[in-house]
Amino acid sequence: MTEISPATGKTWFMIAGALVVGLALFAAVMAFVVTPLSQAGSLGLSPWVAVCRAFGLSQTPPPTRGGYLVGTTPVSAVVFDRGLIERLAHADRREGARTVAETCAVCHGAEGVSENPAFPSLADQSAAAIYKQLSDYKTNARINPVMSAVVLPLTDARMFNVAAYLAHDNGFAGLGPRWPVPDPEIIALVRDGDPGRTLPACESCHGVNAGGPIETPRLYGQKQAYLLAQLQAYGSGARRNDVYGRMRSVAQKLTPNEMTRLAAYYQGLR
Amino acid sequence: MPAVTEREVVASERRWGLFVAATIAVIFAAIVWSAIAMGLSPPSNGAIIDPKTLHLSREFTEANLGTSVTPDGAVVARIVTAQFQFTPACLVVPAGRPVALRFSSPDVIHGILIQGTNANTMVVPGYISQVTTVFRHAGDLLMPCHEFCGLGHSQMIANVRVVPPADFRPGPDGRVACAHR
Amino acid sequence: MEGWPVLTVRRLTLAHLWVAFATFGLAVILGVWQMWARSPLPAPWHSPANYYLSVTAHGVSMAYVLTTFFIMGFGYFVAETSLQRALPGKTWAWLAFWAGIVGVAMTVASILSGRASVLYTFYPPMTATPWFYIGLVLVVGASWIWCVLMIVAMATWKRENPGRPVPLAMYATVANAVMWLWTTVGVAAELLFQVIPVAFGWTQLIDVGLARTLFSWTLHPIVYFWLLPAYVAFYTLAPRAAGGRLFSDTMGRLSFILFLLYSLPVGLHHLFMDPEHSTGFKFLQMTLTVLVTVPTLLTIFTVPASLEIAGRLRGGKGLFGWIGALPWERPMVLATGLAFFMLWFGGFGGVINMSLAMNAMVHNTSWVTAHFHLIFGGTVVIMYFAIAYEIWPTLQGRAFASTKLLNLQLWLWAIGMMVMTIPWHVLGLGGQWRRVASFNYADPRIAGWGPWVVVSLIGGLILLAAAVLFIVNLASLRRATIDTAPPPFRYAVAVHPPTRVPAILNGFWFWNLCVAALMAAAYGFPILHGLAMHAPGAMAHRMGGG
Repeated sequence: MTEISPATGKTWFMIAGALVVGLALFAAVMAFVVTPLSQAGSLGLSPWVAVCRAFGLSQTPPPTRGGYLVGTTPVSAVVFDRGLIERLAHADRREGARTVAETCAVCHGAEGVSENPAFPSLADQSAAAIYKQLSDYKTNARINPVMSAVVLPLTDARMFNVAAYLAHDNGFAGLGPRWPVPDPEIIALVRDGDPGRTLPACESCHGVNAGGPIETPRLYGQKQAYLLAQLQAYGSGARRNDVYGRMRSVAQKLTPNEMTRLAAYYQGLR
Repeated sequence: MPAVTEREVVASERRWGLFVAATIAVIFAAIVWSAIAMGLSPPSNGAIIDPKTLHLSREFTEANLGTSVTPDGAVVARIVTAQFQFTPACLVVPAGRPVALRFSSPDVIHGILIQGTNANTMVVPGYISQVTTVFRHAGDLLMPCHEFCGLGHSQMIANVRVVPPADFRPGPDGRVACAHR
Repeated sequence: MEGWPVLTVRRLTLAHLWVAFATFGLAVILGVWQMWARSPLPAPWHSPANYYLSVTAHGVSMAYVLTTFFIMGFGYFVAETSLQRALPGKTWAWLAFWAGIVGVAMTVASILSGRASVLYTFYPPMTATPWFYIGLVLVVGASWIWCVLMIVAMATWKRENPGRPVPLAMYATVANAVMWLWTTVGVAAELLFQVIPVAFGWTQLIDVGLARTLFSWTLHPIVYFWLLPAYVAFYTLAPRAAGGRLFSDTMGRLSFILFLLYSLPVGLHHLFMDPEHSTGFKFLQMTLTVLVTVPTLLTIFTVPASLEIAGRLRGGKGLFGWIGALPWERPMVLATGLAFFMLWFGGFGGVINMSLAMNAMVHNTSWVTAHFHLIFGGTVVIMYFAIAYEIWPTLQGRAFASTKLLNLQLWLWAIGMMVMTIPWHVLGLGGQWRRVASFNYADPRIAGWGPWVVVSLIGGLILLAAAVLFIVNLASLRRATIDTAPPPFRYAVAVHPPTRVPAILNGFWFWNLCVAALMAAAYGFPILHGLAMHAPGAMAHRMGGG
């Protein structure tokens, strides 16, 4: 390109612009007219619907609607949404402290640190986890004669208060890491899971930085007997308030021996 | 200076330009033809659903998941992909019949493929992903989650049990589930 | 011409390139360990948490740190050597460097804390600590300063040299800067308006479909941002290194313009298997994706034609005789040959990926991993090596005593890359899925993959050897004898050097208008429709405690 006159320079812009626009138009016609229309027949769509569908303005209908879907009680009615997180954040923790002292302390220990191996410690548990269980007792998604009676008089607001109070760092020796139990097989299960059984690592949900399901409880420092009882209840199907059966499925893949050792591992040594 | 005149340079550029245009046209034609001839339909159904209340939704509540046959004979499988498990984790489908697979996620992004088939879709929270496929042979196929969904991603694998049409027997409620082994 | 011919960006360029290559070295080690972890052989420190931490660090290092710092450093060098004029605004350049360093430090600390294992592609609603994202925003912000400096350098030169064509190397570098400004709009919008507010806990919900759309805006052109320095080398360094001339300056300009135009409105091809986009827009962007192969096809004509000139000048005869006559002992020539070889494989894989129908067979399988490692490692990084070998003597004022070890390093890298990615292609077609920390080799449907994964691990080890040798090669130059007067750095001259080029090939305003129009057509409706549809948001899943 040695010499190009200014006139040809202008023509360049015209040609380039026409090419860019022309190719884009061609692509658009292929995308929104030619292809949808030629597919309309095999998909059983009218031409108009086919074009609308190409723009995303008409959905592919589901195969059929209704009829065979059964109406059942969901396993848990709790909905983790923005409202729930905000209510937990703005809960009245002083009122929560009063309720804990009056209602919970008898079994779960003063300030939520349990002395009885059958009852879980609650201090430093995740607020979302505590609220979900309280609410599930209330809706009978989780069944326990004592707890069902205990939550009966509690309003939603008070359950939020209790959960927020217990979860807040109160300086008690609540849940949290202890001296680890030296059990290499169980540590492998906790850290790595078992690909052979498609068993995810416990820590992939229960770990501190896991980013797993919001309702996941903290396990370190929890009562061994309580943990074992829950694993067994999930395994037998006696407890079924885990959404989409994720703990039921895990527990069914564990051996009784592993359940016992896992419970011991998570309680930890003092 | 090599013995190439500017005229020759421009001419060879033009020849190559035509060759490029022809190549592009062939590639494009092949793709368009495959799209139309194979009745291709990527998972673009665009149906939305609230992931936060998915477990309360009519379609994706726990009891309605799995394979079912509708009164008009269509086979539909509904699967929830959640950290870190498919529900159900085992799916029964018939060989040789179109099966509509409908997925949704209550938490984060997942994705699925079924080995040896063209069933492949992302599962994006907020949307229902639908793919339709015909399973050719009976056998057990892996259906792994193929998109990073958290630390348990590697263990998120389901089994698709393709059974011969004769062995595909829905119950009175139109539902089929894997037998417990 | 104050300051020139003394290279005034010597320390600036070296600082950027050393940050790039040090990060690269660490990322290679992580990559090898990841292959080991996925293989049937027992790997140390293996746990899902460590694996995803490593994948995040590997991806962030390679995709954001190596590339951005290399491109910035090389850009400053090109601006000064091609325009033969001191770089304006060096204070800003150093400011950008340190902003980038602070960003990298924040990001690395976040990843090491285990609170950012969300991979370099983020995957909201998974949410890392906010400092991870803010660190990356700082790195991108630093690159924006670089973009402005490149544009200013070209504009200043044009003012001082009215009517003269901008040297091709600089024109291409500015094309990349302009493209990068467009590219980062998507990810910046995703991070600033969606992800970071959630990461700080100010909001809880993310529209995941919109986040994916915005990220896809960035995800394709970012690859061309990494790639264009390699193309700068193909056009302006390789022909000169081979002893020939650039076949056509115009073809070069046209290629870089086409990259700017068609790398941007095509990102939806990463979302072919997504439910939130309609078939029509997927098809539209697929068609535009076909067009982005045009500049590559132009390049595989022009660059070999340029090398042919060199081969024939050196006495090569016949249809292919010129190939043997090329000076393959020169690293830039060797790297160009190897890069073209791997670009062919990677490009073929890419054509499969972009086909709407065939994509369903390979989406999120190891096929895709193989494709982008071939493009990134095989074409981009090998040319970064060659560029470093080419410019290091000028930067250090010392010459390599021998190119033997340099060529050995390039061969090792290419062989390692092929040994690693051929198994991945095979495994991908067999349905091996992505981002997995460990496979259950006891499953008969998976057991057969074991040997292939081990082969790819061997490829990884070869790559590690190549990476170590690269650092050794560069470091060895510090011990070489000082050249009293290193020859001035020169770029390839065209067969018919342009004395004037049409304005359309000497600036970018017209092409920016075209990009704006194409982006409006390709992304305008999908984004607006997505906003109007108001898809229900997903709750943040926080890595780092509720």
